[in-house]
Amino acid sequence: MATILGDSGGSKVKHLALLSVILMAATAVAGCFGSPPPGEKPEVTLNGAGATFPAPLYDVWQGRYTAEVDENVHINYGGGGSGAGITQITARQVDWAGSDAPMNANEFSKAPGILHIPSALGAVIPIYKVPGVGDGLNFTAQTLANIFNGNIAKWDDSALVADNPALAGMNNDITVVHRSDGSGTTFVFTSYLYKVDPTNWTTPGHKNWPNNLGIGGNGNAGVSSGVQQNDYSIGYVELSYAASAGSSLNYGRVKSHDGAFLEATADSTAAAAAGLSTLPAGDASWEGVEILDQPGANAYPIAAMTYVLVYKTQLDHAKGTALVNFLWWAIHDGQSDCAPNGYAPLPSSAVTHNEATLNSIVDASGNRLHM
Amino acid sequence: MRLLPMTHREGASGTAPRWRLLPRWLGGARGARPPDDGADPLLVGLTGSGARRADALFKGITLLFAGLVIFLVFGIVGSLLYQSQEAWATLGIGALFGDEWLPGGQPAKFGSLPLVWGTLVTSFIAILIGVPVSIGIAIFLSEMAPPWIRGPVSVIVELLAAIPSVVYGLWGIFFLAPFLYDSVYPRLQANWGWTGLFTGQSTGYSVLTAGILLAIMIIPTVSAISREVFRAVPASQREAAFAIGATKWEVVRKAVIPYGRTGLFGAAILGLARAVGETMAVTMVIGNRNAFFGGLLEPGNTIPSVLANETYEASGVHLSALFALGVILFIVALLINIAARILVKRVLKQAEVAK
Repeated sequence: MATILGDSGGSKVKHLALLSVILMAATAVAGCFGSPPPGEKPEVTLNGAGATFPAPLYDVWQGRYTAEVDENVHINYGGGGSGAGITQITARQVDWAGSDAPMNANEFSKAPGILHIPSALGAVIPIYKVPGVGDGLNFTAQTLANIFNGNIAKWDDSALVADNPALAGMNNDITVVHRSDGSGTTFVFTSYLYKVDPTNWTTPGHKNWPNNLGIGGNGNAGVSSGVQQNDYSIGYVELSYAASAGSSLNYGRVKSHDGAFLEATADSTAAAAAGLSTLPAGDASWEGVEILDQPGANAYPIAAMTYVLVYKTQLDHAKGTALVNFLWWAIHDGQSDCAPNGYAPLPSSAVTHNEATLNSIVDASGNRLHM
Repeated sequence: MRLLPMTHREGASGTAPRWRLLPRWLGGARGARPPDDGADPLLVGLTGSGARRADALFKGITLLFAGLVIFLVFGIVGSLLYQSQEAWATLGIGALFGDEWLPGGQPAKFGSLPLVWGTLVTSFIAILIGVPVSIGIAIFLSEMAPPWIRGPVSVIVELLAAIPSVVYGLWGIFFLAPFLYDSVYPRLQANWGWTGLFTGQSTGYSVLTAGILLAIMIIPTVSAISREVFRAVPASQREAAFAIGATKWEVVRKAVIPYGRTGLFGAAILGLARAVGETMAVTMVIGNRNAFFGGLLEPGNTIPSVLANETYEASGVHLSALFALGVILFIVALLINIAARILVKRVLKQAEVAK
């Protein structure tokens, strides 16, 4: 027995050593979760979710805000899509939500006290791949509507050639590439087609593509690779995606309200919002608010605002203060991040409007949170 | 009564395995009464109540695990049914089994039949191409390959299983689809167009591309199981076949494969299960067109692909209809499984009768 259990003396020491290592590790880990020393501000985490279109911009903002303005505030934006964002903010599961489209009447009635705060502007551009043709094909709402509903089937259709003589004789079928997932990009694009050409485009704006023409790609990346892999194809992507994707895509120009064929840039997108004079109050319904096909010499027609949704009454005082300060910074200093990332900054009229909205945010006792 | 068969190796070396040092109620032998023949209690199996208790504990734990899995399956199906109530109530079975899925249409359509058809067709193509290739790999690795090749090749084949679905999808977009579109599909249409299967060719994103990609994805699963099946064939079978003068191919065909037939069917069914459920890779190469496709070279769509695409931004009836799609997929998978097992039974019965 002694020979067999002879190891037990040594193994007891080993067990003791293992136990002490575990205890030390546990203490070290527990130490990380202690409360900060008195006198320091508490850490606040703001959780957001929603549309993926503004996600790259919010990423930049959250990094800059924590690094430059207030290191005690951590901002998370989880993406998940506008639908998920609206669902979660309605249930108060997140502090702020992002949405490409304003809440419709049904969603607005389920979230009493919700505020809409436009945070940036974006644009949707047509992209295509036609061998022998570079950037700068001209499109109108009519030609786009007819291409994307199948009425125009070939690149040398007379309507296209009228605006683009380079397409004469190009008797190739058009391959349509649309979004297969629900997206704010599709919503903006289809809303534009329905607004300007309801005769040819009969379905109102919707997040899901309304026909089964051509092929579908998942996300802006899916549409982009769909177009790049197939000759004689056409699709639509966000300007912010095109800005990061680089020169491998050919972008088209769209005819503006005033008749000029415009390219989408930060400037032409911002010009689309310049005429924004009447926005609803922050706590009213924003259903139907849009900046499509606006008059103006340089106003790009397929432009849209993206919104931040927050509640007027913030139940947590510390979080509410942090949130209001972050949003105040976002609509002022944060706007300088828009253009470099493919978005357009808000016009000053919208910024002033947002200031009034942010000043109306109160805590549970009714005290104004923004100082 | 012994908990484990007596292992003479342990007695010879004189050292008890460490788990025997656990107390008796945990299945060890510490503090056990020495058996009558004076042997060391740590080296022989347990007797009496200690053994019974350890057995009961073992049985309880394994029963718990099995029950957990069954509970999970029922739980998932139950939550799918719960979330899809609105769709069944508002849309009705007729609309949910319509012939076009168009949530953005006016009016919105939620017909799932084209998606079910797409799921069945892509899985069928995957099995048709993937299972013979996998069995071929398994035969090569177990029968034909020299021993020094077996290790590296089997590791490489199993590495295929470690590649994430999204990476397969990206490879499909940037390599497979253009390659098939440029080199393979024109030849298919020229030489085999008379079958009527290969109509429609505007892009490389099609049902056939998705099927081929799925076939590649199920190769590691099916070949690993097939290899185990072949390894389990007793050497006596092979030796007997060789002894009566069969060639290597005849040995495989007549002695090895018939012996492992059930196992091979099991492997194929597992591959089928993976093909039916595959999401990201399919959605990137199938073209995402939610209507019936005329030929294999046209874009189509499958249920998992639609679920992956549309669940994010869906709400209300649309979201409920997506959960209903999940229920439909589950039913389809169940039916395929049942059909496969009936087919297996029938084939095996015929083989028995033929003997």
